[in-house]
Amino acid sequence: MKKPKLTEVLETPFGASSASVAAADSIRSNGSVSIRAAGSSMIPSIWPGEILLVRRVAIAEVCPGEVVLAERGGKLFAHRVVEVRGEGSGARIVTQGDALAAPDPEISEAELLGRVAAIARGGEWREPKTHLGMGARILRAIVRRSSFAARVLLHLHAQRERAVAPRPATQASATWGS
Amino acid sequence: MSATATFRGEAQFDVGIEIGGIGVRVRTDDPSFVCLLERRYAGFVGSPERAEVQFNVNLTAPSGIDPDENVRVERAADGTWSLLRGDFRAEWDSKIGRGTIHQTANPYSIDAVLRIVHSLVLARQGGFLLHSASAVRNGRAFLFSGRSGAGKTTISRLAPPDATLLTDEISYVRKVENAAGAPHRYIAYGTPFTGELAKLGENVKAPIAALYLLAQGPENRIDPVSEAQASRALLGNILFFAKDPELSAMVFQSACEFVSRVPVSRLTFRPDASVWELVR
Amino acid sequence: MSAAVAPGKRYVARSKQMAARRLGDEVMIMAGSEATVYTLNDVAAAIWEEADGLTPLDEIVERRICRDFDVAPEDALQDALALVAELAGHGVMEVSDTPIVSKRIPGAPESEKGSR
Repeated sequence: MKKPKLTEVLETPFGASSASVAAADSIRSNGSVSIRAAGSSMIPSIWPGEILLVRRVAIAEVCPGEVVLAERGGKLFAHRVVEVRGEGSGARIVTQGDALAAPDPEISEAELLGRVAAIARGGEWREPKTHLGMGARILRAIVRRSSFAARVLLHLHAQRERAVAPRPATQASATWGS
Repeated sequence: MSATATFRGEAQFDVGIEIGGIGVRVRTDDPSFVCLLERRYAGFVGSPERAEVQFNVNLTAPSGIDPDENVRVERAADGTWSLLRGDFRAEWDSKIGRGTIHQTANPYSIDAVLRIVHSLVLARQGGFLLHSASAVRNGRAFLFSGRSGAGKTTISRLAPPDATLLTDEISYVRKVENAAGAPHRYIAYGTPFTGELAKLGENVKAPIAALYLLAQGPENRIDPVSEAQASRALLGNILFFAKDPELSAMVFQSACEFVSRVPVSRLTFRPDASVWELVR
Repeated sequence: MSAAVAPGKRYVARSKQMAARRLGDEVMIMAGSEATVYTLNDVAAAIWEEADGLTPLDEIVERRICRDFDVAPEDALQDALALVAELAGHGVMEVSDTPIVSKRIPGAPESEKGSR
């Protein structure tokens, strides 16, 4: 019978700086995670600084139009699904940022972390739209062609954000993850 | 906002953002960006003249909108810091307190720069920023620490009316040195760094009475943790971005010092307001 | 300085580039600019604190570990060798066949008597 070791060295992380690693670990072990969008690749649908609630999903369950979170090269990105190729766990999905002119390389099941289930906006959770309305599609087309327009939009959004007061906190009963 | 004219004849506009008693003057030639910051940091706007740190903000057009990246914070041989992420680039000379930020008109970018700069300043003073909610009750501050999903926002939402929320996401901890021989203490400050609650904390401060490590469960309870467990939990939740051995060691010692002075316990709670009966 | 080296002797020393702190029975170490903290349990912490570069590892084990923790020398030495190899891999300990003489080996970790 193997004797228990006398010495033990426990390794723990220092610093909460590795957001990508923490988020990926969290969603893989807990099934969901909330993270903050830092970049502008999804305007006008997701704005920098917005918090996203992401839930684990199998690649076979993903549909075009949904926004998914994936990890590649240690970096996280949340982009919209534009195409699903193949079936089952071997399927690949093609994503594209709403503000970007070109799609991303295919994502495999291993790289897929989850689906964006909700976006925190104005103090409450909202489901992301799978189909953009006319206004949003026009904005998207403009932003894809003009970085100046993107800058103006970011500016306007930031001004609007502070002009809208968040709703009061909800009742005493609450559920985890929100 | 205050305006000054530079020798080039261009107007420069200033706004002072004071968090944790540390003022940062933000200077830019775009008055609408300053208005935006004044609204975003309402409650934390102070006199720019009193600020010990100054940043000139150079607003740029978005360049090839990058995917999200982790931030890199490095110190050059001459001692200046460089801060780099997909949405901004900044340089900062901590000796004179001055720097420059290159970013789009995205307040979330400057938010990140502020968090990084405050974490660097606090590191030299025995303080730190911590992933935790915090609130003041009966004149004392209570911290609730945990990573994403631990319940920071939930416990913040459940706070009773007599509790003042300092933050639901990132707590500001400063060490106050007392006279020789007297134990120093730790103060928590309100911050404008919000989580899912999307609500700025109150710009107040209070001495820290306890740090709770959050856990979810069927009943409310407080359990002791060893100093080593407390340190590990704290070190895993501290916001510190710099790859710098000297400062990292200081933050490490600060965390160990903190858990030796402030009671740390595990707080398991049900998602209802009854947990606050344990926090007084 | 040259020293007579007994065959099979191992010498161990705490690395210079690290911060360490004793908290209760355990020692926590952070090396350089790594984003990892190492916690040593009581036995590992005892070895760590005795690692002055001049005392052979088997003497540390016999004098401190076997006495304080009531274990057989062979078992303790095996574990100690594995421990120091692991810590050397993390860059927090030096291991050598000859005494490690340095102008300054950092002292034993700071200790908090605990005012909680």
